Amino acid sequence: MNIFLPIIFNLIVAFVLFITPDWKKPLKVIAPILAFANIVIGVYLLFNPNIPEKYTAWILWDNLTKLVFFFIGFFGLVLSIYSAGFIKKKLNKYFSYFFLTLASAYGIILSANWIVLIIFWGISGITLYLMMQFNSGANLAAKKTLIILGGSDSFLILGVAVLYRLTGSFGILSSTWSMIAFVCIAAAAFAKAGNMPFHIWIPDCADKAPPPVTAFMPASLDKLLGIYLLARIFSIITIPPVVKISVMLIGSITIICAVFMALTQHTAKKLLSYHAISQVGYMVLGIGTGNPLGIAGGLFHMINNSIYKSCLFLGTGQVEKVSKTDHLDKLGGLAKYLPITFTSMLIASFAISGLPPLNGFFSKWLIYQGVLAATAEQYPFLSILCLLAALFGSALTLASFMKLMHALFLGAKKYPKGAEKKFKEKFSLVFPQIILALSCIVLGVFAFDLFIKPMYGNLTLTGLWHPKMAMLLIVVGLVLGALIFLISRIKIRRVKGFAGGEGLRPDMHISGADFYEGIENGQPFKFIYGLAEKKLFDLYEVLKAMAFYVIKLLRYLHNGVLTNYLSWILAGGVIILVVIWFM
Amino acid sequence: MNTLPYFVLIPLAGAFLIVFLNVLTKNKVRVISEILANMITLALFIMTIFMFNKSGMYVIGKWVPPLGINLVLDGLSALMMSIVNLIAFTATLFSINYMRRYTANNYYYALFLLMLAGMNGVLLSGDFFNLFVFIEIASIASYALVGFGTEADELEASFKYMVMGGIASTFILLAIALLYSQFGVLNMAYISKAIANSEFNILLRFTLFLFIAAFSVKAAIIPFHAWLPDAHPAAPAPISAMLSGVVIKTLGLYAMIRVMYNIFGFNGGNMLAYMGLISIMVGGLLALGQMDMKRLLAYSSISQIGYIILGIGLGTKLGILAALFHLVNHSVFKSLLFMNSGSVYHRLGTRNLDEMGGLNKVMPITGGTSLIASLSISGMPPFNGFFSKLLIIIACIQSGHPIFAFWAIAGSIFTLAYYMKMQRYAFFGALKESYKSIKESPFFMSVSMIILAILCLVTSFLLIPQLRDAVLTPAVEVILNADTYKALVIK
Repeated sequence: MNIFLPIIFNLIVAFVLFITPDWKKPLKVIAPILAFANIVIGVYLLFNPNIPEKYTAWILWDNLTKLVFFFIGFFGLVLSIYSAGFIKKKLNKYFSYFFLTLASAYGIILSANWIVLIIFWGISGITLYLMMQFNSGANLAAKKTLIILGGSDSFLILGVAVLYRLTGSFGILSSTWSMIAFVCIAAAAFAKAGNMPFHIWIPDCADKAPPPVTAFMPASLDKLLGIYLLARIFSIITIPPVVKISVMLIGSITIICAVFMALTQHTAKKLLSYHAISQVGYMVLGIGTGNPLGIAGGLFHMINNSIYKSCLFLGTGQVEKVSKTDHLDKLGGLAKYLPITFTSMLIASFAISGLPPLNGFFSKWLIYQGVLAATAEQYPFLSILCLLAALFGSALTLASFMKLMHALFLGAKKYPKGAEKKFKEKFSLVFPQIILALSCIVLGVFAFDLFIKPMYGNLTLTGLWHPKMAMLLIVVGLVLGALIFLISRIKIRRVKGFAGGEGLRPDMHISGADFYEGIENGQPFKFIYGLAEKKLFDLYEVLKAMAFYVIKLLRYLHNGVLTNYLSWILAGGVIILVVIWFM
Repeated sequence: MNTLPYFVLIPLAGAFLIVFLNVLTKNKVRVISEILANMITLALFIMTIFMFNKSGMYVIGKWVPPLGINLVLDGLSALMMSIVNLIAFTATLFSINYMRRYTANNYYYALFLLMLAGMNGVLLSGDFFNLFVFIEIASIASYALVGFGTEADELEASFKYMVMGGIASTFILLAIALLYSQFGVLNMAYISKAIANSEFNILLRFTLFLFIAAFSVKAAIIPFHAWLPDAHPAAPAPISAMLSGVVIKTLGLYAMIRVMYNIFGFNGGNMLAYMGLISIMVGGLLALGQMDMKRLLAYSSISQIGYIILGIGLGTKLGILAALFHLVNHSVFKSLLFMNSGSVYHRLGTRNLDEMGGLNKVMPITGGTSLIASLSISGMPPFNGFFSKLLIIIACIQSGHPIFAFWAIAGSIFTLAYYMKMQRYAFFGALKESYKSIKESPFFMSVSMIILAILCLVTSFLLIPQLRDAVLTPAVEVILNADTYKALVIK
């Protein structure tokens, strides 16, 4: 099979779906089947790549590409199933953009030519813009998203133009160091992946866009692509130590700041979106170390994060679908209505918090090792700071997920009568979550076999961690516990919730939304949150305010008086005359 | 080369024929002028396709230059002519439905063809006096067309345009007089030869200044731009499409390039590039602040013209190629955007973005084409604007001006910002209750928009080496090498 097949197949599917009418019933079945075909093609190509002789210079086919290649197909399948169950209107257009996104993602990672990469890069931004606005009020967020992504696209062009001047070719080849090129390309990668300071579109997008779209692009594919580009630029340019440490610091700052923002959110999707940003910090930190351990950790974290983060978004989507809200204050006690969603989200939230033996632990562990290895090189103090930030961020992540899980699923919450009957899980929405939650466990336990060996062959790791052994012990422990429980016949007493010795009144629901109010109200956090509230950390809003200040001035000058305009002509003429005179 | 005069004669004759036929039928039959105008513009466009890769001279009445009048065709004028007549065709097609809202259609089509004749004349004219005459024909027709609605603001806009355009025309006439006083000929090739052989003295410098200032007014380069934001929105939509799409480029940019590069052999250092940078940023910012759809588009034209002269001002082969490519692309998508705004105005009767919203639901063709055009002009792949932006940035870097490249990128982000603003306000979002019953724009308007939307994708293929060598490279050669133009005329 030809290596271009995934791109061509998805393009054709996208085109055909675009021109077909909106047949909902068949599309719901056909789209997942097509996505499955995609993954079959992908797996087949992974083992039997057929790169025509003529095009070898146009195709990148190394381990990095293969890794991302497989997971694009994987997320395509999982999210097509979920979308088929979630999206109600204009399914043909939705899936058309969906497959166009897949095609562009394949194009980005397969291309060995910068121009082709930029074209697909831009297309994936446009499809996100279109998909965000499906049956939602996300117009403002979509506008902001496309401006940031399109702007980063322009910077990518600038970076590539500089590389072209250096190497004389548009191929993705190794090049001499160039600050402008690196900064521009890294900015594009950061914007796509959602690292600070270009993260600002992610909370808005997650808040307003349909959950499958958020899970599909900002939570998984955009992470894959952004980090792919960052890893790629690290692999083709030799980075000076000072830049490496800067990238690591940016990553660490992202981890801490975003997780602090996440702690105080009151809606589930915004909370998750800040974690999406925070987790990018880990990947950037890992890749920024520039040593094999750190990069392996960053890449593995990229995969893991995409898995558990999309699982969390999908779970939230399920919650929102039944309860029509994602405000933490208004939710609670859903565990008994949505058990599968609860379980899979619990697993995913343990994974994101880095609890062993789940995948999130393994990749964070790799990243810590990479950072430790980096301390041996230059700037040991700063590297240690980064390590501390990463560790601390991990703890805060766990804390904020305890809040989320409590607020959504635990606590006693009374819903209006009759509402509870609608609280049912739909197979097409739950099945993807099960797959993703299982992947969290499997990738954690078999990390060596599934990730390290295929990617790196043999990576020397310091420290002792045998996930299989640990998992075995955990399972043995659980089984033993269950056995003891069954044998000893301990009596169980169930009581209703109470406070101060009295039964709870319906209005005494503890939502969990204010778990960390103390942080919010304590100085200096209160001051910083206040600034964040005013959008002073939002690059987009700050630039917008500055631009509109200048615009006000310019509009004041354009007052419609003809004589003024004529005097401008005179002034401009004089300048031209002077220039020509002295030339 | 015997077909050259027909590019001027056909539309000129058509203009008078339309008026004459309407006098005969007592203005009862609108269809006559519609069919005639469309056939003429279509025929002219088809004729221009055969002009590529040809160059030559036509001498009128066998009076050889420098005394006689000659028409000259080279790569640059062939490129410009094809795009002018293409946009003219789509504009007349669009006018069929759109102009039903106005009375006195016959005058509209007559003026339109007159303007077209003037532009074709400018592109072909081989001597300065005819250049001036054709510029005036096109300008005066466009003054009349801007004020065609005869409402207060339209007349005001037309008046401002006329005053500033008049100043520009005076400058041109003065400059021509100075040249004639010095060399005693009006033929452009002969003057070019004489300038090459003489010292670049004060008088010539002053003449050059007059030309550049005058053409800057016509091309609406900041600070000579003030007429454009009034005139382009005030005109009927197809005329706005013509004005922003091709008129400012023909009367302003083409004439300026011809005079500076071919006649004076003067590339101006980076002067044009700096003018372009100012236009990019100021035009972009002003567009960002607009809530009037057509004014937004008008300021955007100023900004985009900035990109074109930035590319030309770089003076490198790649820079000029990028500029000409962007010129072609901008004609396509800016005409399309003005037609979109016309289509919205046709159905809603407003240009105010605040009063629109959710129009994609009721006008999918207008919404879809305008999304394509917006993404193209903002330089998003895979549309044509992306490639011209790419070329301009690479050209800036290759010529050693990273700051220019950065500035161009900042401008392109502003472009993206205000087109996304337009999309958000007009086409996405919630549809107003009162607009629920609105229909898609009429047939010919939709066809015309679809043609241009397809061109937004197709013009990218001009960069394929075979096509590029047939279409763009000859034009670049003409600009870079002043002698090729002279050699066409002086045997």
